[in-house]
Amino acid sequence: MGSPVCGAFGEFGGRFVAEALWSPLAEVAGAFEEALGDPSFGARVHGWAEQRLGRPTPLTHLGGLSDALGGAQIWLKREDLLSGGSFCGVVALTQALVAVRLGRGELVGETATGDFGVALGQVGLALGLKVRVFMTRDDMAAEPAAVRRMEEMGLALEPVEGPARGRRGAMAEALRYVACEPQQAFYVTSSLASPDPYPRMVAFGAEIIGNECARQLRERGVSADYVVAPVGSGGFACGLFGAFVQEGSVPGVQLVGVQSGGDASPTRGAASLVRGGVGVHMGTRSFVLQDALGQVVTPLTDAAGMAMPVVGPQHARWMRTGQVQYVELADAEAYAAVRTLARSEGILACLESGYGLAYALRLAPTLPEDAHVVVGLSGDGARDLGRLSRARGEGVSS
Amino acid sequence: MSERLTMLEERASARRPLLMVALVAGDPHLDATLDYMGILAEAGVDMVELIVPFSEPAYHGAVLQRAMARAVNEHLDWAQIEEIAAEFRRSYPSVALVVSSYLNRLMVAPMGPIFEGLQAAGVDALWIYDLPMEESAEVESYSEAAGLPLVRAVSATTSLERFREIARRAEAPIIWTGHSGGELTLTGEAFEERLRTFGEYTRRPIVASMGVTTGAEAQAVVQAADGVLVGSSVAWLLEGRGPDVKEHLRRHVVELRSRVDEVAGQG
Repeated sequence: MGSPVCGAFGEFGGRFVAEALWSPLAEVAGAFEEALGDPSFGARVHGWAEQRLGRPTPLTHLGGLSDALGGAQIWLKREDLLSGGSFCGVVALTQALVAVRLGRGELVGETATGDFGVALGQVGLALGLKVRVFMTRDDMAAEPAAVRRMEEMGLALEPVEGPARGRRGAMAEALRYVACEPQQAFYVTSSLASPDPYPRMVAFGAEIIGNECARQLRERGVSADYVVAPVGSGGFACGLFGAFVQEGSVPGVQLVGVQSGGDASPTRGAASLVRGGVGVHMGTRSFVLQDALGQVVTPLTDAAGMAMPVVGPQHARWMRTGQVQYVELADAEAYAAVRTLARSEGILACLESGYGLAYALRLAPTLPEDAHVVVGLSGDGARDLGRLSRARGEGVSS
Repeated sequence: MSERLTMLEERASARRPLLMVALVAGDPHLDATLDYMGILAEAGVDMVELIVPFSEPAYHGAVLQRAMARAVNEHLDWAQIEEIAAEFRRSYPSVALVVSSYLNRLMVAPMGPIFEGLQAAGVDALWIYDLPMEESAEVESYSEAAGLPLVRAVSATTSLERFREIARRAEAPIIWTGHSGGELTLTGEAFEERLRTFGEYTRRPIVASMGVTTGAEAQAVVQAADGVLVGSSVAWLLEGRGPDVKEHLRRHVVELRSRVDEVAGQG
């Protein structure tokens, strides 16, 4: 197939949806494009990101860990320090402000780890909007703290029956709800793997992360050799890589997206870019974990934020062009990396960030001391304490 | 356009409402599918929609999602769908057959041969749920080359301007998707008004999918639409899989047919 018509990233992207969703999405796309031409929109996003969410986040040099590993200098971009504990706020904020421009009264989204649901609540309530969050029952059971937090905010929580943890079942239900309430409801997503214009909107918000990071590196007089981030649907990594991937903007930096290989058996995991094929799923043309018949394979990983069978179209294009390298690492390595960071630096990262960390821990000792590796830390790890304990009990991390 | 689709247009223009019934191929197992299709044909449906199961049926309600989840375990490929279609066509030459699925199921193999194989097997049209008109240029080229038209869908969010373009491209009955597992987006007078307006801009029959489960509901739908599409109630019947499932299915479709036919000639 050729390039999509709407929101194309090379041969990827597009707006592959049922007719009922076409016009609502076209309206959102129009509003977003109009917003991009309005200087006050960007100013409002940045102002809220600073005042409400706590941006910019620090770029932390891990001197002790770098010395212990005996190689490159490791840096962390600290999204764990934001209000809500993750990068999600700025992604929700961009979309919520588009919803306001359209006069919608209700934000509707999905969440897997709970981070995005909390972010949606923070932003939506502040804007005077109702907030409805869809979440699979398995995810609700696995994330009691986030569920309690959303309940305390008074969000409308919609349990979804689903085959496994992860956003896809909840996303389908959220879209279904919006299709039935097109005048009032506005769909908001944390997933880069979604129909146009959502990949563009998610990237617009998340690119603040990469822009900050590039500026902070310049201010410190540091030239990054590697920038590493976890990739589930890829919203966070897209944001972090955005400032670096533009041709000629930051020469000489190698970008690495790390996906979950699950328990490391060949038919499991969530590494859509490593093991998937090109397909259309969740409204976008991208790399999809699928079998020979085109049936989508359920991604199996301990990290719900990584459990996506399809990746955002920007990553699919970067994979094709070679601008970003994509690898997979097993859950066990992510657990071990989270624990290593906690014990060496006192920073508790979420499990999703563990995949990027694990890659950096492998990489750093192979590089000289004057090399620099930046790792994107997408969120705080408090919600993963139970999983870390269980993993230790099962002997999967050191 | 096939002779069968032309006949459907003639029926609809004579105010004889159309009955279209959907089945999930391979639910609960492949061997039963042809039997069920035969029951539908003998009970008088005008069109059978054979749904090729997909693991991620985002635009279907819970009942059809469960049906597809069962059917996915049958690992149906396109060659098997063609076999089912060809066998059905041999037994029921006058009943229209629409095959439907999600785009990803068509992307795993060269698309041209899939279209050609379905057309040769006697399939009258192909409905791809997640392929809007704007993104369909390449698929349309396969459709045209094989002589297998694409089914076009419209909904409550479709503007008149957009409908006119969809209708211009339509070479098969147009499906009104008023129900996709959630609440109906338009009911009653608003639905009737929209269908009346749309109907002025197309010769193609507009068949409405409205979450119909009973003969009375089907009858209400065809007061406004040229036909009714019934799907989840059939999947729900088959889900029971009791000893009399075929008889229950037959009675259900006979009831739908008779209630729909009571509207014939009205309006």
